[in-house]
Amino acid sequence: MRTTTGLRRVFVTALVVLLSPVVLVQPAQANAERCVDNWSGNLCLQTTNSGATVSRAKAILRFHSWYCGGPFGADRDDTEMYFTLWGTRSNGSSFAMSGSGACDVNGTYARPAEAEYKTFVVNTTFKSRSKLCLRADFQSSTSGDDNYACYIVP
Amino acid sequence: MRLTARVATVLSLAAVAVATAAAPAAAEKLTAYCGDTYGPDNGWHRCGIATFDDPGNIEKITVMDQNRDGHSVVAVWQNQSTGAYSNVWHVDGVANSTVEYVDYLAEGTPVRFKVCAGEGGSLQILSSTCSQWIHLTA
Repeated sequence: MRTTTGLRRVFVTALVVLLSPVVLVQPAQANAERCVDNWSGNLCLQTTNSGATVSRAKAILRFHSWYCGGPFGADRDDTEMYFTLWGTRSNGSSFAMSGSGACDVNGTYARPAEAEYKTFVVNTTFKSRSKLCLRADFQSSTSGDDNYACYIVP
Repeated sequence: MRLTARVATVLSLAAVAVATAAAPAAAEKLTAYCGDTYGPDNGWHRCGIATFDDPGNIEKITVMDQNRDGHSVVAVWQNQSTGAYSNVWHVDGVANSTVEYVDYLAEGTPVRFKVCAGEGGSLQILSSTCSQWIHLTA
């Protein structure tokens, strides 16, 4: 009887020791990027996440045949875009943020470049395997020039 | 197809928020004003504003930066029923804004919010710049 109990203790201790690294290790912070090719460039949704928790989401455009301030005129206003970010939280409720951003913030105006238009500080845990999507429009949320990039939450 | 449906849902939520906000009698829209910060371009000025718009089934929290001071702006809001705090950061500088839509607050929930300057990288809030709390009911 005592021997059986002792063996059980040894087994449980061994199990705890074996599993502890799995339990203690937090998911590493990672960057993921999903891009869609359009507007003669790429619209990219770049996320910083630890598992299903997304801390930041960035809207980035990489231009191929035109540039920030390119085919839409020389006015700064023409470089502005409108973004909507949405997804499903881990508790099932809807998440949505929006806002405008301009491409010349980092001095990329009138130069072929990668331009970071908008950063959303998200700090939200999403439903695993759900989609976190970014919609981009020129100048207004109903431009008709909408493009999408979606990220599958791990 | 599913993506299109979700986009339609989000846009319709946003459209409802905008449309309802246009009807002042039904909407409760409150504004918090940040304290002054120093911007090399234009001296000491208000750092930004936050509005809490409660047109019905969805709350719309908007944050705007109004001073080229090198700081970001954050709206801090609290569900006073649960005690939970949430932040809405705007880190993209002057002339743009960031909006968060909240659809999970039950009608009648007491809420308070304020607006502060902060550091967009470290997400540190500069508490000396915060406005007073503004109280409302969702």
